[in-house]
Amino acid sequence: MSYLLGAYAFALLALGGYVVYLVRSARDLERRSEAGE
Amino acid sequence: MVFYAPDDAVQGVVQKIFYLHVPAAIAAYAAFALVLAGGLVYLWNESPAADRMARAAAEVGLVFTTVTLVMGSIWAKPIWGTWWVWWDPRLVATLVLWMVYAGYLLMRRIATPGRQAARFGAVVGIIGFIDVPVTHFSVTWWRTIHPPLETAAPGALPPEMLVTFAVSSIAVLLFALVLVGYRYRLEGLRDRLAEAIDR
Repeated sequence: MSYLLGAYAFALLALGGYVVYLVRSARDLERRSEAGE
Repeated sequence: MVFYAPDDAVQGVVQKIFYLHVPAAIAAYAAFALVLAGGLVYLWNESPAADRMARAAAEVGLVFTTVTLVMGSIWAKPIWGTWWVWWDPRLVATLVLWMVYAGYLLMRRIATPGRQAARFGAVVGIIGFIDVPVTHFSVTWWRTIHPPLETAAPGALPPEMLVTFAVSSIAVLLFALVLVGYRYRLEGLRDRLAEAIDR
């Protein structure tokens, strides 16, 4: 069971972390675009 | 996945890693097919949109290949007794696939944005795709300890396992396409910002 939980936890962290990275990148780009940087 | 699908008679509960491991591999293949398509379209008409799609899909494909590799490795430990087998063609071909697209993204990050980088990226994306069928068919072409393709065939699975696998595959594939779409939008914003700074 621990291997299954470990595998699912990794998938959740990897994909969730990637979604957070994308959202933060979008916010950063929008901020830079508004500031004209 | 955890509650609906029955436990495998031989592997037990750890077999349920399959319901995310295989769909993640399918999503990665689909993303790399988009890199191939983007590269071909870019070489044909130099469309910046095609290049953006290739860049977006390469990153998403790399994320799903990472998930495939790590989940497979976690499954291998209790089943094979080891995290990794260096002589196994499926494992090594998948690792090479990861390296090809990691190299693609690294090159795109380092190279000065423009026509030359996009053309070179398109060529790498087209040639790199050769490893996708090699990875997929490696279990039938060479001797391997990786489960064969027939493991996921409709006749090989009981209905509950097949339904779980089908729903999971469709969900993961749609999620990957949404991520590519979102990343594509980001690449567009980045390109517009770079153009505005150049002006």
